[in-house]
Amino acid sequence: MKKSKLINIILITIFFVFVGISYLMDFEKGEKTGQAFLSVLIEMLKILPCAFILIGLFEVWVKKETVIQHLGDNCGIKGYLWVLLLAGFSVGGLYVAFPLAETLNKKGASLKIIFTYLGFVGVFRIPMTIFEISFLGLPFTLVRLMVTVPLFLLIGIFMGTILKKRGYKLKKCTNAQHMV
Amino acid sequence: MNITLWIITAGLLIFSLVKSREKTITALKKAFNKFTNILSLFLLVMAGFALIVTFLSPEFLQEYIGTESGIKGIAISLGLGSVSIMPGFAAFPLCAALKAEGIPFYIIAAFSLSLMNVGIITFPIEKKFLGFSVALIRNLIALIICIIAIIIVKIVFGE
Repeated sequence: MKKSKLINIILITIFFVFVGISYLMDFEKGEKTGQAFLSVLIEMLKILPCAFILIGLFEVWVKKETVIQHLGDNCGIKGYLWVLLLAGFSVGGLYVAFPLAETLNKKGASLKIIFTYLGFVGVFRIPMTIFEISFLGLPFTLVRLMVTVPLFLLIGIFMGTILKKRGYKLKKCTNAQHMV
Repeated sequence: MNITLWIITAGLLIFSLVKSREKTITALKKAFNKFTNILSLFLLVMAGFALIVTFLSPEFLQEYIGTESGIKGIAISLGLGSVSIMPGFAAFPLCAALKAEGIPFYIIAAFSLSLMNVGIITFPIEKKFLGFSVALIRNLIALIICIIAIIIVKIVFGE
């Protein structure tokens, strides 16, 4: 984590040096790059604070624990609603979702629930969705959600059912945390 | 768009402040921490964007991922999204910047959806949890769902 940040900072420094030298040498493309950077940065900074504040408020006022409590007895349709919420609370990419899928498995969640979770986690993380709405607008996000959420639900149930018939089991990765 | 966002944020923030001062302060701290955490990557992505729009001509961008790029544009965006690992905190600003350059929503959907759902670089990790064949099937199905969503986005927004 720290190492990648250091690389980012080095690359940004190189970028700034490049823009700076461009101005000194009157290199037109370099100057234009600097201007493009500044204008996109200003546009983004108009949105970014809102997006992060909304996520902060969400995390403080809605508790993940409530959701996990309800996943213990995950039979019936309610289980899918709760797993949608659980996905909503997930942070990080898919690779963070796999250890959680393993935990769900250990807690006795069905394969249908687990594969539905893996689908939902890519499309229904609430902080990400807040971010998406802030930057791309509500209509885009709504269309995307209305298509992907039902499809991933169907596929989750479908994959879970078929794999269960075949006696499929999730692999056991005891050192899950270290892999992420 | 921006103003609506600010009004909603301000409204919720005031509501939260009235309900609980401590929780609101915690929320703001969390927001600030997330922001500083992502700042270096965010700046880098924006720098990359600035380089792309300056050094590649608008015609070039339009040809490959523009409104007329069609299947070629979708394929390029899907490919880039599938091989990239980038948090949404950096990806969506990039998408918004591309949108402002006139890149259509369906191309943006191709990138953002495959970024979130298809993982080629993270496949080795996925394989360890799901096994090779199930991991492969999951990625292929996710790719198909992305394509369906892209087609519907294209139809709805008519770009």
